[in-house]
Amino acid sequence: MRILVVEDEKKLASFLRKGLVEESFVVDLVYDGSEAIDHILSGAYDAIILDIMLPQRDGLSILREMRQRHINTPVLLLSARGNVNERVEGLNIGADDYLPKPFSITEVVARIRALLRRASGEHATVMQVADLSLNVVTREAMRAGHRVDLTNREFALLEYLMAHVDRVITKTALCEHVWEHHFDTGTNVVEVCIQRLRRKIDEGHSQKLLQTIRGTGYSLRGGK
Amino acid sequence: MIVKTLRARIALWTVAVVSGALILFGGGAAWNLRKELVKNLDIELEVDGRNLFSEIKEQPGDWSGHKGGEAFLKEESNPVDYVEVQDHAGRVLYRSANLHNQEVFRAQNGNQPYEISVDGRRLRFRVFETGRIRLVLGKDLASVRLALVELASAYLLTLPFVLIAVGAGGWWIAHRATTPLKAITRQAEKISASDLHQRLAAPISQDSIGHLTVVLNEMFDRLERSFEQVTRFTSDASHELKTPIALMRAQLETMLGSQAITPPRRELLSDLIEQCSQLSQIVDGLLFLSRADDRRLAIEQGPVDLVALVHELREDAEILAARAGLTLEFQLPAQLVVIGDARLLRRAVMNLIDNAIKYNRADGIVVLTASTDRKNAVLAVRNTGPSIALAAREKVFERFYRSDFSHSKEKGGHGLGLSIAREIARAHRGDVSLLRSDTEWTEFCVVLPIDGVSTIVPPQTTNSRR
Repeated sequence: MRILVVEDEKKLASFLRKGLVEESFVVDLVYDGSEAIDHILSGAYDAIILDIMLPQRDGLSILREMRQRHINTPVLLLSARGNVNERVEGLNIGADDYLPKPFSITEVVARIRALLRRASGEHATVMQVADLSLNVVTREAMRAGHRVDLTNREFALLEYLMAHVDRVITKTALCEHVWEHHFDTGTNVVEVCIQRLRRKIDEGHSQKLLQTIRGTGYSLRGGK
Repeated sequence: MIVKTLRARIALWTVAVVSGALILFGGGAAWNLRKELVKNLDIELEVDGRNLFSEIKEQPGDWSGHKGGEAFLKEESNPVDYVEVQDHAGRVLYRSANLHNQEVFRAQNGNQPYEISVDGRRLRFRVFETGRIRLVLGKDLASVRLALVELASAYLLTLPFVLIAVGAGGWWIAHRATTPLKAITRQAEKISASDLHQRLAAPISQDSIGHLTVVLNEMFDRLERSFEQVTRFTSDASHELKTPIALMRAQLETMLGSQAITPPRRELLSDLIEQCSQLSQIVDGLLFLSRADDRRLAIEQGPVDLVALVHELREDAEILAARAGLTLEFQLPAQLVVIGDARLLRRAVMNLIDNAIKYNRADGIVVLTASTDRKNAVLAVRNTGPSIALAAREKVFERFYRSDFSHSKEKGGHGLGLSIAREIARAHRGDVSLLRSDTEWTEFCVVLPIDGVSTIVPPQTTNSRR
């Protein structure tokens, strides 16, 4: 899951990133409003953490512009404590949640997870596809009652696939949402990681969940 | 350095000019002194000569063979003088012993004094004449010479001190003259090193330094304008491209999700999506570079362990290497910490690794090494790729540069990776350079100052872009 953090206060931004990266999120940081809109328009984010007070362009106008352009990425607003009007206005123009400063990083992570769940139509912290489950909080994956050990990368990959269950995900999209770096050499890395993940979750099971859509990408199928 | 040598040159020139003037002055003074002394000597000659001559004239009788005359002369004449007496036919009647029998009479117009060397001595003579008798009286010029020598030695003794004083004065004047230049140089350096918004301090005086300041400031104006035009163009163009690309991408993805698409179409669509993603990457790369040009790269500062950073990239790098059939080797110390932005540095290093994997021969090797001297951390990536022609060694860092080898499209990439890596390193006061490229190895290295934090230019939040 790729998260954009828009926060001009460097220390806070870096603190946010650290906390999110530990949860296997891919994080992009930008420090000002005009740069933020550039990033948002390229559209490859699963959630956005947006500070209201920003140099050059404030968070609310960014939010307004992205909603006008029908970019429906979930947005978590950060605002100064006590500024109720700002928060109400933010929610009214399309923010999904807000968090007053100061906040704890665990709360940010929890709220982001909640936003992502809502966006994928899921409501439990444990994602379930057939007999495969993934607890995004404890980071535990189970297949048919057996624990599956995942690396950070594999966890991120599986989380993204499970959030988009039954949809075809292109290698390009996986590359963008799970990896921080875009490789010049294309999507080879994705293919190899998918193979490894498949070995872990599908090997020895008759029902193959992770399917390759030839020439397109991958899909996690619940098979109902 | 240039100012320093300019200062030395000014001091030296001052010394040279003053020496020349002093030599001219000394020569003139000596010449004048000699003229004056000789004039005095001439007066002495005149007086002594006339006295002696009148004595001789009063001496009765014929001088020829006149023994008494000789005795008289010996008695009368000054022993330091040189005396010769001739009769009207030019026969020598008397010649003082110090002349050593040398003929000293020279016919002169109007009895002007003249100079002859006798026995190594320079003498000045004057002739006194009546119809009957001729007296030649000479005096030594030694006293004149002595006076001149004394003058010269006094002069030469003081000259070094004078010249040292002049040199010091020249040094000081040069310092005074070059101080404003140095100040301008320092300011101008700062302008090029940080940003083009700054200007030289307004001139205090209307002299040539003031004029220079004004002219330089005008030049900076022009420079800033054209530089801004270029960066704004790149930045605006990238910005304007983003939305349509994102839109295209979104539509393609919607189409891909539709059930009515046949598999061949699907493949085409996903290829188009990949192309869109590549386009976005190029646009992002351009935006990144235009920010770097504008010195607006946001750099987050903190300790970064380059070794840990390489290990983070290791999983992906090994996958890429294995895919390309390459061997990946790491020769790393336990830790190598620099101050900088971890994310940017990761990007720079990954670009180099990506490059080393991409431009390699089949079953080649990629080796990563990290080392440090006291000031810098050096991370080197070498591979067994084809050697880069000498002429292309700087060009590989140019934007969109493609070598012949990389022209095949399957290599992927857009030719911005090395430029981006270099800009990142430079934003950390370091650099990326090509160390070697021969038949055996091609090696790129990132050099980063260990204390990179101190002079990293902070992103400019006040600088408005549009």
